[in-house]
Amino acid sequence: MRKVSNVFKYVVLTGVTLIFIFPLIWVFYNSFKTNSELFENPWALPGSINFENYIYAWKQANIGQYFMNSIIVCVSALFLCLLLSTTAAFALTRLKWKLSNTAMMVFLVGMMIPIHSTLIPLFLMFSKAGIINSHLSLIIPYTTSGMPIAIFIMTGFLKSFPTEIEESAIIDGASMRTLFLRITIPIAKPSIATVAIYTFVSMWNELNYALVFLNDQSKMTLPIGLNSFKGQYSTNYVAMFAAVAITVLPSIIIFSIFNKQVIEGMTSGAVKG
Amino acid sequence: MEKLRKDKGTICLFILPALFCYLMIATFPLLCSAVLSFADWDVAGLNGFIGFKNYIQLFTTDKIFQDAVIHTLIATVLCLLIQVPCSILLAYLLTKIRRGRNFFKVAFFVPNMISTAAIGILWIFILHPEFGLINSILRFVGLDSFTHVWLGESGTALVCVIIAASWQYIGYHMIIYLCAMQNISSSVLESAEIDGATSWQAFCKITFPLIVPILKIDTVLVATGSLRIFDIVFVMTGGGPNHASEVIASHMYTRSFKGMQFGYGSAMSVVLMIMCVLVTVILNGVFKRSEENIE
Repeated sequence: MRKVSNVFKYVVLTGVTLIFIFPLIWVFYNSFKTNSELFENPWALPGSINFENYIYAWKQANIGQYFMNSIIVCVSALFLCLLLSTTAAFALTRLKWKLSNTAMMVFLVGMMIPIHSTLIPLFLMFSKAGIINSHLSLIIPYTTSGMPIAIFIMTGFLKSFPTEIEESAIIDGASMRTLFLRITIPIAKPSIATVAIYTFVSMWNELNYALVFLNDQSKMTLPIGLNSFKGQYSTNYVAMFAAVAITVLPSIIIFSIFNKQVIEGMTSGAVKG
Repeated sequence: MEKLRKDKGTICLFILPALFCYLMIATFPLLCSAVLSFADWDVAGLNGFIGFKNYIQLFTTDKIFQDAVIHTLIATVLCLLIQVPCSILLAYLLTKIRRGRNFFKVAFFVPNMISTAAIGILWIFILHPEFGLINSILRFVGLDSFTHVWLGESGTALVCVIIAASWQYIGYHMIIYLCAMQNISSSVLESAEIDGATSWQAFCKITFPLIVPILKIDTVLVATGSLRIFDIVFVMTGGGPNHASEVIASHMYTRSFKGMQFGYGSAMSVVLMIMCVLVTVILNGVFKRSEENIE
């Protein structure tokens, strides 16, 4: 009896796994087909492997350009976000000041601010500043939208870490700045890694801000570029399959290596908060 | 030591940049959009403040908005009905197996790793009338009459989008429940088993009551998340056909950034925000009452 129900559980779980994973596998193998092969039998494997669709998507449909834009935006925003969040987390856990709890609240409440409520004011601000349609218009909001969860995770980590090492460093005459750079940051490395991976993936996938702030094809990031590709080349389906594959691959690769950190980053806000 | 920790210069150096950026880009715009919602602001700029006119227009003359509110509420209810039970069930199954738990956990989570833009297109393909997976399965088993132009028919478009959104998020919510279930001490469950409780009894009497606090948080997450549903709608249907899948956020996007009616759009974002707060309060009330009933 026990065995039967055990087998049943695995059958159900495998079925569900297929529902979540098969569509992605389907996209990958269809991205090597020709359009006529696709229409003939969408389930069949491609007759031959050729990278024509990828070359087309990368060059003709600008996916290569979008890819580079995504990297520029995400790497800069990630750097700024980590810089601001680590310093803030340091101030919130290692320095003593009256308003530190209030400041923490400001960041935490921010986790609940819906993106839609900030889109219009930011659009007007950025138009006025003349940075609409530039990468800066994404780097700025990406930086701040990554901050609450980053600060939340890093303060949580630093609070649970004993301060003895840092205290002895101060007794040895280290300044707060060297303490931060030489000791606190190395200590906080695991939490910084979690934050970095999770934040990078969410920036890589972000669509809303990009949709509103970028119209210029040459500035678009992957998600919004992919969406505009959908409108322009709507009949070249196999090239679109390839474009989706190119967008998805980096996230999947990061996830297959760092799935523990990503899951921790994504769920910590809900579970602990 | 203490002196160094209280040094004003150091404190400012470390906290002010972060706090300033955050207040400017996240908190300040929120207040702005509340103010803007009382303004007549179009492509020409500010034409003055008009009191509640934007709101009155929303609820009296804007038929698309009213339909969008209904669609948004439908989406919220369906997302709750699909995502919460499915993720609890999957999490429960995972606690019951010995091998491969981590594999399944990671596999179910994969859709959360993908940009909604890609997920939207992926589902456009799955639902494609000619080469889509759904229609080709239906044709294969001889149910040709059940095939649809899923995203092109007003009867099916919204539901299809909701299914795609649920496909994306179930793995995420499952992990939340899994964490909660793994925190239950195994000795409680083991002693129940020794006392002869069936696994269904153990689930109803022990596991479920113990995950209720997480259930409360997660229901609020699902509900507020689905009220704000936007990008998947935008990619898959753009609110169409003929506004059949229009939700509040997509209507807001069109009116604000295609129609350049920033005051009007802000009013919608405020309504959306208020709906999120209301739903959170209502859900908390429901949970509180049912907790009292149990006691």
